[in-house]
Amino acid sequence: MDELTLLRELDADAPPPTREARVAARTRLEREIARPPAARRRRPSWNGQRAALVFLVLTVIGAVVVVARDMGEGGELTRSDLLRTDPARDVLELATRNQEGLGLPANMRPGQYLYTRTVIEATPLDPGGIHRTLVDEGWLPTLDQGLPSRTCELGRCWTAGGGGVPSAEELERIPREPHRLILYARASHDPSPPSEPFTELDWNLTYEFLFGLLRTPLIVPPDLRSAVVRALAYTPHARILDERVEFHGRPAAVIYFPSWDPGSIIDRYVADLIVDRYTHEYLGERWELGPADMKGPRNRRLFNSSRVRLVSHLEEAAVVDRLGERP
Amino acid sequence: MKGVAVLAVERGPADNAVVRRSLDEPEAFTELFDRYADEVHRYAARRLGSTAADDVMAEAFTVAFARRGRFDLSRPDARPWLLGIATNLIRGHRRTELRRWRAMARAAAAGGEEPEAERVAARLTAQAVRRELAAALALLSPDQRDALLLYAWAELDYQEIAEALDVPIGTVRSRLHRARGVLREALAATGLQQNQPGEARWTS
Repeated sequence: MDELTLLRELDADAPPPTREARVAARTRLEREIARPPAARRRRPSWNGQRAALVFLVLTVIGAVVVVARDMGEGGELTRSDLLRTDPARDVLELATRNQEGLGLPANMRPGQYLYTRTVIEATPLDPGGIHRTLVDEGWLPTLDQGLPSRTCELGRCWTAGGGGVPSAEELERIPREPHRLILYARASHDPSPPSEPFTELDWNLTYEFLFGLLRTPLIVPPDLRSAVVRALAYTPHARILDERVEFHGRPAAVIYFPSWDPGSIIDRYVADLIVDRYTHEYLGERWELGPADMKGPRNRRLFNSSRVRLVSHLEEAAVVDRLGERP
Repeated sequence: MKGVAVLAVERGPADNAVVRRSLDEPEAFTELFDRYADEVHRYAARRLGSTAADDVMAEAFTVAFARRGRFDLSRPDARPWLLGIATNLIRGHRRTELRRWRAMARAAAAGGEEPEAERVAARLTAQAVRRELAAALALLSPDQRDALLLYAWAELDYQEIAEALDVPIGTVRSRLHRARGVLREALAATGLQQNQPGEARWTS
């Protein structure tokens, strides 16, 4: 029996959608169809033949992504009309605060690992729930060596192949101008043309990339960190809670997203990021686990609560020489 | 899923006719939902689990409706297009998918498997090599995994995968070749299957 036959048999008995899920999906489609055309997502006018795709292999935290850019005839990006022109002032104000010289990127030689240690405080929201303090460690290699990485998530760890952090040269190639950076980020996981205006999925892909840059400590240059914050000001959703103090007393700001519909893709996958008020260095994040995250026995046993609020703090980050080595 | 071609004969107008009609009569697009919702869900559920597959199914048809003006009306079959949209949406759940493969690999490892000699002697089934298959899927690059699972689970052919992922057919061949190499290597390590010489494992 060859590998394809075996793969075809794997979980071949996956159940069909439930009647409720099917009805919900069809209703959603019918609702979209019934909306007045002006309120629908506009039909894209993307001219694929004029779009030159420039591919650049880049990985931000564990994924090799293909990046495509939409280039006009003059080699300039032409899609800035997709995005807002009036930036969120609070976010923009945060972006302008970066103090030159602070947080210079660390050098990471091929074969080395980026080590991180994060402490997570989990607070159950149901009576009788269990408060937990969890520690996650991670070892991410440089991308070009094909080395395994080690990742933890809520105290559960695994080693995997593939992924890593980009080189300094790759980080330098990322555009700093907000609109270019947003389009670059959108193309990072999906080179197909974006919708006009961006859909929820487009924004999800964009935020995943931008957050990946902010979440990667030490190696991302300060001007790129500030560029990411500035780009977030041009997205329709990001807001700032300023003048906060982080767990260890550092002046912090929280980048958060108040405007997602509950239950949307992004509402579930985008956390609030906690960054230094002046250097935009990543300090941690906060998010919630809901009933859908508690279906597995591990989380139920761990928290005994249908909802849990989590706040993480990056405790340590360093460049080390080997997988498993701690600074 | 083998029955899809038969259904295509029995079900009325071809998909491209449905899409063309939906440009003037948007409600006609629900016909595509009725034809392919289960198939899109099944594909997504095998990659992400049922809960996330519900979201992917709903979002895929909403996105497809919004983008129906881009559908190539010369293609009679909308399956590759819809499964391509679903695949892009599944990429938004990448962490969920990786967690699923890793959890499956761990669960199989912790499940008190038979001793190696007995496994070799046993009939070779997907269940027997569940751990290795799941671990190998977690190792693949997203591009390779998309191509492989569209081929193995969605039963698209090379040309259809190229249409679904909007890449040249040669790229599909090379991604499939490398992905199958990773699978073969993982299975060879169990002693249950011979590895093919010259197959390199994806490492970047």
